[in-house]
Amino acid sequence: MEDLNDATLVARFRAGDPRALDDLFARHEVPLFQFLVGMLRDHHQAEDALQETFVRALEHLDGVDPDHLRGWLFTVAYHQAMLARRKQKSRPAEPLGEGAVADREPGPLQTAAHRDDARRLRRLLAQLPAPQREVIRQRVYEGKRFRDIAADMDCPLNTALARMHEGLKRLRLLWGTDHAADGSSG
Amino acid sequence: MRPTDPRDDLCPDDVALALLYAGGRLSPGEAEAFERRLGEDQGTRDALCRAVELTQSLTGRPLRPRPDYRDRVRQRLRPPCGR
Repeated sequence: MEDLNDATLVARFRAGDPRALDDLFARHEVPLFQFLVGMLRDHHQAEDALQETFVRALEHLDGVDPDHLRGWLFTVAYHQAMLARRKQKSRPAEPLGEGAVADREPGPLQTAAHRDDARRLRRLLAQLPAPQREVIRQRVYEGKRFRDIAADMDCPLNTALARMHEGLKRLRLLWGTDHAADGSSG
Repeated sequence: MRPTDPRDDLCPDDVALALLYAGGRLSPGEAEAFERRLGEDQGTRDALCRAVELTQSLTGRPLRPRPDYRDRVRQRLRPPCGR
C-alpha cells in the first residue's frame, strides 16, 4: 500500500478508484474490529457491525473532514455497536475471552487448544515479578476489583493498575517467545 | 512518512479500565459511564482497541475480520461517481 493519507484516499475513493477502498480497509479494519469486539464481545456481530460501519460511513462522507476520517469511522462504529447491543439485550453478553473470538460451538481441537493456552498462561505468569503476578492473579483468577487489590497489597490504586499494565505487557512478550521456542522445537 | 500509531501514548489507567470493560467486569453503572466516554472520546476508543489487542495477543490468535466482509461492502456501496 502506498502511504497516502486518509484525505487522499477519500478523494480517490470518491473519484471511483477501487484500490482506494482496499487501502481504507487495510488501514482501518483491524482497529475498528478490535473496538467492535470490545463493545459487542461477539466475533460475528462485530463483523456485521464492521460491514455496516464502512457502508454507512462511506455513504455519508458529505460534510466529513477527510483529515478526520478515522474519528468519523469510529463514531459510526460506536453507533452501530450500540444498535447491535440493543438487539442483543435479550441474551446475556459473554466476557471477552475465548468465546469472543471462537466459533459459538468450538470443536474438540479448539477446546483442547484453549485448555493448553490456559495452562501455558499460568506457567508464564509464574515468571513475572511477584507484584505484577499478584495483581494479575487476583484480577483474573479471583475477579477482585482493583481498589480491593490495592487495599490488599497496601499500595495506591494507580500502582495496582500500572502493575497490571506492565504485567500484561511482559506476559505478551513471554508468550511470543514461548510460542517461537515451541515452533522451533516441533 | 508512516502515520504514528495514535495508541502509542495511551494512559495505562484507561487501558486497564478498558480491560475491565471488555472483560465484563465493570458494574452496570461503570460500564454505562465508560460507554458514554466511548461515544465521545477517541482516546478511550483507542484504549479499548489496545485492551482487546492485549487480550488476544496473549492467546496467540490475531484478531481480524474474515476478508469476505470487504466484498459485501463493495456490493452495497453505490458507485461514488454515479457510474
